[in-house]
Amino acid sequence: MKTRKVLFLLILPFVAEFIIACCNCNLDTQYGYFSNCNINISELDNSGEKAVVTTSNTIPKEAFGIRISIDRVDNTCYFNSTPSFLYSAFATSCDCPPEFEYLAKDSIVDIEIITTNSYNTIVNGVSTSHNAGSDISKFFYAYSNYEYIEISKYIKNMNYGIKNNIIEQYTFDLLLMSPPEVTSQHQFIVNIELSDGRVLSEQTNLITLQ
Amino acid sequence: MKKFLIIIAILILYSASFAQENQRTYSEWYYKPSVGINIPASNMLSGEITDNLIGYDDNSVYWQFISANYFFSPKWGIEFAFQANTSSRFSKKIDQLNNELNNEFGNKNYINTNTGTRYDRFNIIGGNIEKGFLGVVYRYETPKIVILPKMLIGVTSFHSTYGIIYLKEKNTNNISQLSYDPKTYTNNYFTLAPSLTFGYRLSERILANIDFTYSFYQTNIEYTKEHTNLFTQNKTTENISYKKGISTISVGAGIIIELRKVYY
Repeated sequence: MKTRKVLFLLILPFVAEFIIACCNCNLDTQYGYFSNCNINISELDNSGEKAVVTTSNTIPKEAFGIRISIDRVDNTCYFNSTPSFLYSAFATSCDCPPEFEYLAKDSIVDIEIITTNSYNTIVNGVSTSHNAGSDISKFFYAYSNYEYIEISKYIKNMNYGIKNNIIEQYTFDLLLMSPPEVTSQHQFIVNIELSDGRVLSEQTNLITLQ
Repeated sequence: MKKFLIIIAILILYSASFAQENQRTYSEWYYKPSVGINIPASNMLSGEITDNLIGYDDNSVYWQFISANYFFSPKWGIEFAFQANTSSRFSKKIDQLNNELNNEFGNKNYINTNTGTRYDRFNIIGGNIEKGFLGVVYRYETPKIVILPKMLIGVTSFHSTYGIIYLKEKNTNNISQLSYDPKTYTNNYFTLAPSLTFGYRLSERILANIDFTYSFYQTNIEYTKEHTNLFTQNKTTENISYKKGISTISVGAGIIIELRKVYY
């Protein structure tokens, strides 16, 4: 019985090594950083089956949205991680850590959508009025995979690291869910505030929401 | 003396062979393949959209290749039968679902449909509705005719599946989700099936037969229809019940092959 235990203990490291070898994981994840550099915005017409970018000056007010693309630049300053127990655990489960992981150097803190004209809408049956220059971002929702997400919650998704490939642009759609009460001309300024104090800003064309 | 014994033995064997010819025989085993149609005495489907999510049709055809009788006496025996059922409507269920959704919601919405199962995949062994029976058989037999009244019990089995439909409202940013949830996906129902078979002898071991079967089972399917505005999360819920007693009359035809005869 004792001999069996000793044999088992002797064989155990080889078995563990065999399992790890099967997984063929590269334990040395390389980390890098990306920076959010500037944004591009375009108007969306969501009156059809899917939202499409439009250059039209007139868009149905209940089907209006803004597509925002954030240009991200690979800020290459790779460093190797020190293999830890955690990553060893990854290896034995064959769920390998990524070869590269890019972390946000400057995370997004806030997104504002400023109306350049006065904006009147109905919320919960009550008419509300907003002066020119007001932040009306609460009327816009990020839309992804049949889900409407408040902008403040969606910002958390935007700050996740990027694994294994470089995404040069991060694109998302904001849909206007509380349209203006009546047909009117509007222009919106999108401000994205970053953790390093910069504000990326862009404005839509002047459009008629009818 | 030796010659005398041989003559006696031959005489005994000769008389024994005559004796066997005079004994009566009965078939111990029947192999009994058949095909037929199912005529509903009561309908399960009710014209709802969810009819297209249930792997069932009131009017169907059946075939049974695995079907046998074992008689443990000249009059009494047992029957086992496995029956596959299908209908030409199964292959149209997805199109029918989309058409009905389009009729109801298509004017104001773009429709994106997801369902769990496609019923147009044909299975020669089990069809779309499977039935298995076991029961007691009585045999009345004349030289030309066999009549088999039976009392069978068994299981009727078919699937039901979910439907998730996204409705994108035209000219707006609004999307709603329409879901149909059956809660159970495999439905097995205890079935009572009294039956009568008439057989006409074509040859020493083969009979042509027709079957009449009345079957009854109680279904227990209930769909929950939920319509959710994905922005406001407002929901309306409705139940669509298929809890019904289902009666079906089946008429079929086939052959009976007598596999083994025993003396009694």
